[in-house]
Amino acid sequence: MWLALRLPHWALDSRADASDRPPGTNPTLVVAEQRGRRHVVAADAWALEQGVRRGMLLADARMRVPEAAVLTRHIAGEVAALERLGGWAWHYSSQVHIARASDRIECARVVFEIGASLRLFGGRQRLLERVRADLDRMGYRYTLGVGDSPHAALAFARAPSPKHRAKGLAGLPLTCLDLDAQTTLSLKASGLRLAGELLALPPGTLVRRYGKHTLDELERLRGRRPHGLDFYTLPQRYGTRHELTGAVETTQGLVFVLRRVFAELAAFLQGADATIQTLQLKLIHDELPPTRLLLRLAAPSRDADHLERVANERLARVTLAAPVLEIALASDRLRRFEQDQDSLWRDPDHAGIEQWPAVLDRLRARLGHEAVGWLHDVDDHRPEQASARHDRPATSHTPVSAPRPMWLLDVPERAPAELTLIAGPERIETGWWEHSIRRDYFRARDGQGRLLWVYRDLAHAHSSDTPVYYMHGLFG
Amino acid sequence: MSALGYAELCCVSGFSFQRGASTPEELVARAAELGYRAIALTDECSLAGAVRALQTAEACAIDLILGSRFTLDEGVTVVLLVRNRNGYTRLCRLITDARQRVAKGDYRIGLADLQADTLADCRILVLPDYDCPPGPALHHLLAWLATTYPRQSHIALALHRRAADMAHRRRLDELRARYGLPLVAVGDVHMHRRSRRALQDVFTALRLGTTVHNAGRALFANGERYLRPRSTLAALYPDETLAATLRIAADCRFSLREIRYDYPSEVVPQGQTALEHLRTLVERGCQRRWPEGTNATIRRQIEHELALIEEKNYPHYFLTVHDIVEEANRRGILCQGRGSAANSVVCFCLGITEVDPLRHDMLFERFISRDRNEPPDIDVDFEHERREEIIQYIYRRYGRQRAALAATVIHYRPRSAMRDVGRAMGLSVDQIDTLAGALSRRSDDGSLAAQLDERGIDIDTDDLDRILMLVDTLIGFPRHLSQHVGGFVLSEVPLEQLVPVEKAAMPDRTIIQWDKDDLEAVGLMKIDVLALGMLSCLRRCFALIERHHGRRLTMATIPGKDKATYDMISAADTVGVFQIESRAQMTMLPRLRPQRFFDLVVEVAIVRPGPIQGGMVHPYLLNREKKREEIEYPSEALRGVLERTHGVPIFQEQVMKIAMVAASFSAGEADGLRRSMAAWKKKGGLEPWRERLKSGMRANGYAEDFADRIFEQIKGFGSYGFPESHAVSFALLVYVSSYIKCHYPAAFAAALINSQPMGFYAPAQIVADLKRHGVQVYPIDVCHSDWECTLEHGNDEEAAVALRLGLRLVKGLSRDAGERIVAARSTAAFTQVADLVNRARLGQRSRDALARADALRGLAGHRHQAQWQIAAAHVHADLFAGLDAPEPDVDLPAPKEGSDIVADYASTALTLRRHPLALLRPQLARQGVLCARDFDALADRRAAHVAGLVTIRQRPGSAKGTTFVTLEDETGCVNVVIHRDLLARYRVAVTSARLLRVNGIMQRHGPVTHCVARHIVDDSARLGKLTTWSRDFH
Repeated sequence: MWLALRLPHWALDSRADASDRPPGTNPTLVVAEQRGRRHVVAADAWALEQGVRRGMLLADARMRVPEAAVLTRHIAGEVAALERLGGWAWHYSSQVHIARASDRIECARVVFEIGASLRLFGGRQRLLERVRADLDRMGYRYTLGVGDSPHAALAFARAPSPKHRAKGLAGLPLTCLDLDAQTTLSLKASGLRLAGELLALPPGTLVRRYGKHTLDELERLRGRRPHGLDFYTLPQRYGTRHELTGAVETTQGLVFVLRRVFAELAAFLQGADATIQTLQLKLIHDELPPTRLLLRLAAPSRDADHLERVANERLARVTLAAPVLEIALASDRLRRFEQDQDSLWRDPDHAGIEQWPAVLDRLRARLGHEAVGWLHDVDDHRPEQASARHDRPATSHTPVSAPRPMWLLDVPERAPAELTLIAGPERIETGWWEHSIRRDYFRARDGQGRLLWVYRDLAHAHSSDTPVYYMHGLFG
Repeated sequence: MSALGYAELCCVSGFSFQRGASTPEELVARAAELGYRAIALTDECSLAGAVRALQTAEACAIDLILGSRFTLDEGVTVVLLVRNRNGYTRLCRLITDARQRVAKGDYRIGLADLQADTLADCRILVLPDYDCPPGPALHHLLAWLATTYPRQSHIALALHRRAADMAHRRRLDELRARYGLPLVAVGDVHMHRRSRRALQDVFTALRLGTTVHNAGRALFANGERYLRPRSTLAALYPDETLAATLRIAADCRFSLREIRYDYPSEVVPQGQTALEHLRTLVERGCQRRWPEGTNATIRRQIEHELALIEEKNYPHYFLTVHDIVEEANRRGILCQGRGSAANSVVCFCLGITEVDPLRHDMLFERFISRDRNEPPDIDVDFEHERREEIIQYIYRRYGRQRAALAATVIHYRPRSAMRDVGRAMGLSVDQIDTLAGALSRRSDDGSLAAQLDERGIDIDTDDLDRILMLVDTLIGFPRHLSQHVGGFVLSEVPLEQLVPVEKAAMPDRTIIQWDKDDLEAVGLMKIDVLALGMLSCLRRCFALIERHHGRRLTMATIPGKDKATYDMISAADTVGVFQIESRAQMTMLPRLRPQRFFDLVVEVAIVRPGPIQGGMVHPYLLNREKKREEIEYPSEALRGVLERTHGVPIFQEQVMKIAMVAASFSAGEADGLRRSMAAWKKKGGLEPWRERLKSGMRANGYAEDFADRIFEQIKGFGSYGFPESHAVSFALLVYVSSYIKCHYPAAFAAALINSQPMGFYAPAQIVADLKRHGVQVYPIDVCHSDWECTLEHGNDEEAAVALRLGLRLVKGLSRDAGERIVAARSTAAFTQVADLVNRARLGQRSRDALARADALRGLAGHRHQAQWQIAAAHVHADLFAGLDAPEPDVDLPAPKEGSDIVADYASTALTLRRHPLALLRPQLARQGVLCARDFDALADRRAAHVAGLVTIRQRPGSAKGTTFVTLEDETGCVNVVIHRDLLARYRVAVTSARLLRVNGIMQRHGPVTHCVARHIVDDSARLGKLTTWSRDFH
């Protein structure tokens, strides 16, 4: 006996915070581009209620939910989430098939064998209840079907309403079968409506019209041919990414999102019947390098709640450098729950963490992590914006033709009155879109013989005023 | 302040797309204000702004130098300035060559292209890079110039107060010393004022495909690349470099006015002058048009026209148009001219138009204005399916060197401006979409901020202000060059000697860098070769009528003054007829009740945004009811202008005439007004005319509100001004198509469907209309149908003709497949489905399409059987056709009526069975829904409940946000009016429903009825899978 889950709005549901958004927020659509036009591939319940449908052009959907937030489909994230769900299904079966939506597959699906574990879970009814409860907790929208073959289970999962399932396979509409669109159209145009009518036709007439593969599909449906699905295998380690529907800016907001992230980890570990000892948590930002948290437990465990608590404690001490767009998790090697723990824990895997020079480590140990950094050149005319401080060296360097002082004052101050202008002006006026400046810069020497970088503020000066100069930098 | 003179020699405008942030007009005008001696317009590999710059330079009395800027393959930037006519010709050719080499919009040019003779009549400015030291290519170029053109070449010094200005000057001084070429000051100008800085940055970001935030140092460090006051320049540049600008300017004496345009000479036979030849052709035409001889009136008119043509030197123009029209006649392509010059007896004799003044009580009012120096205006419409043949003829006859399309400058519109600014400002695609949507409704919907708030768009208010400011500046800016719809420029010499020619987006098409206004300003001839669907339809009508009724009709021989035709038009029975088929036109017809040809001319011109916006329609209707002597005229002088149109100005010509008569405009001023009318939407600039017009009218003693009304109408004309000279030609098509519809409805419907897509109605409505007129319509059937719709006589020859639907209506059936079916059938009738498939070699797509369209009924029975049978039929590659093994019978149920109707709509977009609403009628009747016929019988202001298939949705620009929806049921159509506030509530239903149910109020004006909606329900679910078809007009 097989159970099939279809996840029609996976492109949205698979995002970490999709289902937990507070009520009253804007509806959300996920779109993908197809031949230059954007179509809806997933929508939330509110948008569906307003008449938005999968496959609809974004422009049509907009008319129904003009206020909707629109996200772009992200396939890697969907696959990662689907693999996590595969781990969860492992709990019920060792024959698990997962597939994401593609040209040939109408939506993401998980199919697994349940006949062997019925007794373990107390019968079909109990098992289905547990499955549904799990899915509801994870916040996924799905349709579910049970059948004697994977294809039959999928066909039942496609049934538009329970009354269609009541009469068995024969009572299902043709559209529930996995036939190609051409064939379905042709059959419908011949007046056929139900799977039963199709199954009753002389097989030869079908082969002649629609080829052998159509008959094969019917045979697979009835379990008379091997299903030919490939099975999901448990990964060596838990490594996944959660894409967020919107940027999260506060650690409090993150705590909220992490609840979901760790719930999935828990489902996975339970399903896979595995433990982990270290977990690297990467909070990914737009431009800055990710914030990393390494969580290490005293002993291997599958207690995700505990990991979550550890994570939250660590988070409380972190200030986010930038909004978080994505969360990545990477565990050490998964181990069977009951296995000896010592023998495997030899070589902690630190891949991805850079090897800092020893000197730097010592400097940082002495002065604190924040005290040591690199100045990166930033492509901008404005001196204030032209450099940025980072905790690692720059990967590339753009040369600047204009002379710039190494020392730049955080806040420019009035220049000494005794000033000899040596070179200039260099007029810099830009940044009208955020921090607008209009200045004439000069190199100047002051009374003490220091070489200064000074400017006149054109934005606040009148030509009649005696010029006022501000010191912005010092040539070393 | 220094009194030093200055000429700007390096300056790009908005025609250096995504670079220059001011228009040529702005640059030239500003340069004049600043007292520059001259300004050079040096757009990148382009002269597209030259004419605009010229016109402004003439108005501002500043010298204009033409030139162009190129960045060579080797990375060096040079500016070429034209010294004389020869230099201009060479520059045009250089630009043409550089543009032809690469894709549209780009150019490519290398050192090798700057050969000796190219530069002989130019001044050459070399612009060394600021950011890096001179490279080998620069040295190479300077060395070559120093030996070849030492007197014409210069090194351009551009200073913008940047950090390395001193170093740059030193470097250039070294180059000067080394090569002996003088330095000259340039501003390297990108905008006329510093305030365009932000827009310039936006352009830079767009060009680089990034945002202003991320563009970094690719943006200019400051806003110094504007037209700076001379005192600023004097403080910055060495005196001798400023003085050099004046010497160069003094040497560049070329003006665009020097280019001489010659008409192509091949239209005149050897040994004759153009006028002699024209006269011969007109005489020949006279004999054809009036075989029994001409009367004195006609004679006088012809002589008058010929004299004028000679005086204005236009014989070639008329001969060229005649030549093209003759070619169309030879090929049997229907065509018709329109425009002021087309409405002449000369054009009638030449066969350029078919409007016969005698048959239609028409007297020509206006020909070519003697006072104005505009080229004659003739647009020629051709059958839309065959215009390409004419275009190819023109290319063959005059050669690709001498024929090209005029450009159309595509300007930024609110939506495109928003998209580009949004992109450069880093907004998401989604935010841009929403903003653009809100922006396009800004004018009629109140404040933008409120709308955005409503839509939950979260943009920082400062950002929003900046964005809107930029969008406002950008709107109206040139965006790119596109091809004119059909305006050909022909010349005696290769065009590239007159103007640069570049590639168009369509393969094998070339465009010149000027648009139609530019052409007019410098006196180049343009002939409009346009496409018109109705002409294709009429040609088909004539062929069908000749074949089935044995009557040979042409545009010229259609009987005039036909009462039955006018009665039909007055009853608004005009589905499919040219122009007067739109719903606004149809509601107007019963009120206007046209009885003669001139009424049609008025009809064509009156139901347009211009007259409607100007509030002229209702006064016209009112005045028509009055007796002639009851109509009051503002003055006796205006009576002459307005009498024909019952005292109400309707045509563009009348508005100009009013300006002349009432406000004492000169002919030239009236013409200026007309141009502003055409351009104010994109450029504005109508306000000065308002003052001028009102003060003129006040001085002549006219009432204030009359002046206001005239001005409003002038504004309205801007969006679609309709001149009488065009209305006359269109009215002829209205009359001819109405006549055919009235007397040969089946032929008309067949021709109309066969010419699709065109017009306002889809085949379903055309067929329904035909059935309402009692004509039999036969279904699509592979045993009887041709590719096109045909006419069939019943069993005996006397029976009325019926329409047989053609295979072209079958969705998914290719023309090739359809024609193979017809060809196979002509050898022998099909015996069974397999025979059809095999002999017509039908692929799967065609097979399915035929079965679904129920086109196999003669061979296979009902639709289900047809699909089942044809799915098993394959094309045999060998001789053993039809030897398929027999297979067991499968019993398939016949489709129900409802599902057949659904399938009809899905496969052919129409049905000959019952109307779908007839099936739903019992349910609808229980809900109290009226059918269209019963609705029409209601009294004014009565409540009404109606439902029907949505066949047309329309939101005319003139209707202030009101949407019109036509609902069709089995008894007819109901026209629903949805006001804007209601639309906001039912937008989704109105824009996407296939079946609408509407509670509303009957609004009746005599025979014209509307249902003004109060409450709207999307009832599409009732149709199940019914796929109906609607044309949306916005």
